[in-house]
Amino acid sequence: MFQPPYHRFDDQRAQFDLITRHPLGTWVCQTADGLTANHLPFVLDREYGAHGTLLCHVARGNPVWRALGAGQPSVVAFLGPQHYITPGWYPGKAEHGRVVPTWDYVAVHAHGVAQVVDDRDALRAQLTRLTEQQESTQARPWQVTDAPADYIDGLLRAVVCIEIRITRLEGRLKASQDEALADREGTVRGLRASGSAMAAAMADWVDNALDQPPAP
Amino acid sequence: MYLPTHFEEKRTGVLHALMREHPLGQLVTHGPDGLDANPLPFELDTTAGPHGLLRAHVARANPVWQQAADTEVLVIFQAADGYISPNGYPSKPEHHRHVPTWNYARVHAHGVLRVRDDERFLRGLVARLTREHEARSQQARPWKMGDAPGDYIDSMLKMIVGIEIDITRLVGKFKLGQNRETRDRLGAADALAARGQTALAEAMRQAGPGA
Repeated sequence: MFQPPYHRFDDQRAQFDLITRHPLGTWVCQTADGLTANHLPFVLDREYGAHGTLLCHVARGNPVWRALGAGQPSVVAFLGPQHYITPGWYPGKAEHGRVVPTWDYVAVHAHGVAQVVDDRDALRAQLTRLTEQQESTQARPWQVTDAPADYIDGLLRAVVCIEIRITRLEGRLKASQDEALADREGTVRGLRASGSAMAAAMADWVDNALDQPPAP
Repeated sequence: MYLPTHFEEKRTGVLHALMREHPLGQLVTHGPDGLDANPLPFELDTTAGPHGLLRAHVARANPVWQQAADTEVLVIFQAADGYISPNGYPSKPEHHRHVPTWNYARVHAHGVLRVRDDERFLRGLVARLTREHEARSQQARPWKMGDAPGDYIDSMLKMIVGIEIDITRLVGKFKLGQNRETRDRLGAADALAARGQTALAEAMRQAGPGA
C-alpha cells in the first residue's frame, strides 16, 4: 500500500486495535485461479510472533485451503472508516480556492504466510475467543456452550483453521493531514454534520490526527 | 472467493449499484514486489462492455501503476458488514442449534489494468468523480473544478496517473442470511437495527430466500 510519510500509521498497537475493531478482513492470495480473495472474521493473537498472528476458519468446501501447500504469501486487508471529503468544508475554499476533493480512510494491511492448522482444540479456542470478543457488548452474551455439543462438534468438522503469521504490517491513516489546519477542522465539522455513523467515525480519526503537523 | 449458490448475486445491475454506492474499492495487484492492495475511489462506466469499466487515479509517486501495468488485477467493493449473534434468532430458544456468523456484501471485479498517463483522461475523470460525489453528499453548493485556479488544477493533475480496467469477470457475494428461516433472518436484522447497524439490517431484510 502506498504510504506517504504524512499518512503513516505505524504504531503496531494502534494497527492491532483497528484490526480488532474491524475484524472482517479481506484475505488475498494467489492461486491457480488467479488472485483470490475471501472475506473472513479474524482473531488477532498479539503475542504470537513479532507482528502478531491472524487466525480464521474457512468452510472445508472452500478450495482455498487445499491450495496453501507449504505456505502461501498472503495479505489480509482491514478497512476502517472511510468517507468522501468535499472542499465545501474547507475555509480555504473561499480564501484562495486552491483545494480539491479527496477520500479519507484508515487501512491496515497484514502480510504473512498462510497455513492450515489441523488442530481441533486450536479451532475451538479460536471460535470461543471470536465469540467472546463479539458478544461482549450483548446484553446476555451468547456462548459456544449454549449450543448442543454434538451440533458444535459437527460444525467444527466442517471448517478448517487457518493461521497467518504476520511478517509485515502496513498502515495508512489518510485523515487530511496534508491540508491546512483550518481546513482539517472544517472537515471534522462537516463529517460530524453529515449524520452517518461512518462519517462520525471518520471525523474522530481526522480530529485525533489534528496534532500531526501539516504536510509540506 | 468461496461462493455457495445461495449467496451468489448474479444480477449485474445489483452489483453495479453496490459499486456505485460504495466506490472506495481495494485495488489488489500482484507485481514484482508481491501482493499489494490500495484503497481507491473508482468511477464505474456501465456503458462499456458487458460488465462495465472501472477508472481511477493514483499518485504518480505510488509505484502500483508501474508494477501492475498490463497485469490481471482484482478490485473489491464492500458494503456494510457485521457480526450476527444467535441471540437475534427467534428459533434459538426452540433448539439452540445456532452459531454466530458474519454477514456482508462484496463485489469482486477482475480485469487487466491499463495505465492512462493522459491529462485529458484525468481531467475528465476527476471532473466526473467530483460531480458525482458532490451530488451524493448533498452539498448545498456543489464544488466544481472551475472553482479552483486553473494553474493549481494543472499542477495537481501532473501529480496523478490514470488507470482503467475493463471488467472481464464480475462476482458478487451477498451473505445476508438467505440460508436461514425467514423469521431468523428478519429477527437478526431487527437486532442489528436496534444497535444502529441500519444499512446491514436493511440489506438483510431485502435479501429474500434464494435471492
